[in-house]
Amino acid sequence: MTDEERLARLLRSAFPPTTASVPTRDLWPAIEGHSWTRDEWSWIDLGVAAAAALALAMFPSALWLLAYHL
Amino acid sequence: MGHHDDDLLAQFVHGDEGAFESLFREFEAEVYRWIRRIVRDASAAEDVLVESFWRAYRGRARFDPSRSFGAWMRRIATNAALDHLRAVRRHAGGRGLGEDTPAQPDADPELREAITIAFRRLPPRLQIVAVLALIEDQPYGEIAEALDLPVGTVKSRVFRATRALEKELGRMGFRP
Repeated sequence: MTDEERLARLLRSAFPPTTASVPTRDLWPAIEGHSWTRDEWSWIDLGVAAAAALALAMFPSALWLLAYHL
Repeated sequence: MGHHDDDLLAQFVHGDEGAFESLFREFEAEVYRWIRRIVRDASAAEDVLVESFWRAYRGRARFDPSRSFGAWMRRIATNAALDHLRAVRRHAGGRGLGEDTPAQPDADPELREAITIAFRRLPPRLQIVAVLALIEDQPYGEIAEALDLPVGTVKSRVFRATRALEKELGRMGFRP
């Protein structure tokens, strides 16, 4: 028996292979809520976007600096 | 997949929620079983499943409808499961797996405890290949595809995981 086989046997004694299983509940509602709510902009996102737009309006030369970092 | 499924995949790529739900219903059990093998905890596997399908929906534009949805989904699920292992490890101080399957009672309890500790000390990228290859006995080709790695890299990681486990067991005074 190789080292790998010995270790595999030992590992299986501590972590038995999983048996076939299915989720305990319908997970679609969780996915549905997760998928579509995350697409919305939060107030923080809007605030950051507004602040960036204002800063660029006040300091247009900063656009080059921003473009360089992108 | 037939023409009907090709249409379904194309609709999914264009953001059709009904197509997404159909794909979820078709692949949910298969993806769940794969995640469960990695995270080894039923409740965590459900969270990772939700996260995986959410990532799939967000990344739908990158999916090629002529390819296998199941294989693509498995890759996303593997990455989500790996992120879960990393997060658990960060928050639990080295504990990577939340095992909810009872250990075999006939094994030497001290040695079993030692291998459990040694395994949890492995980095998540070695843990994931070790759990799939050594515990779940999954073919190297499938593991490589799920991790988006060459088969040779998977073999080398299994070898490194084996060596790391032996070293850790040796440090605790055990010889496997």
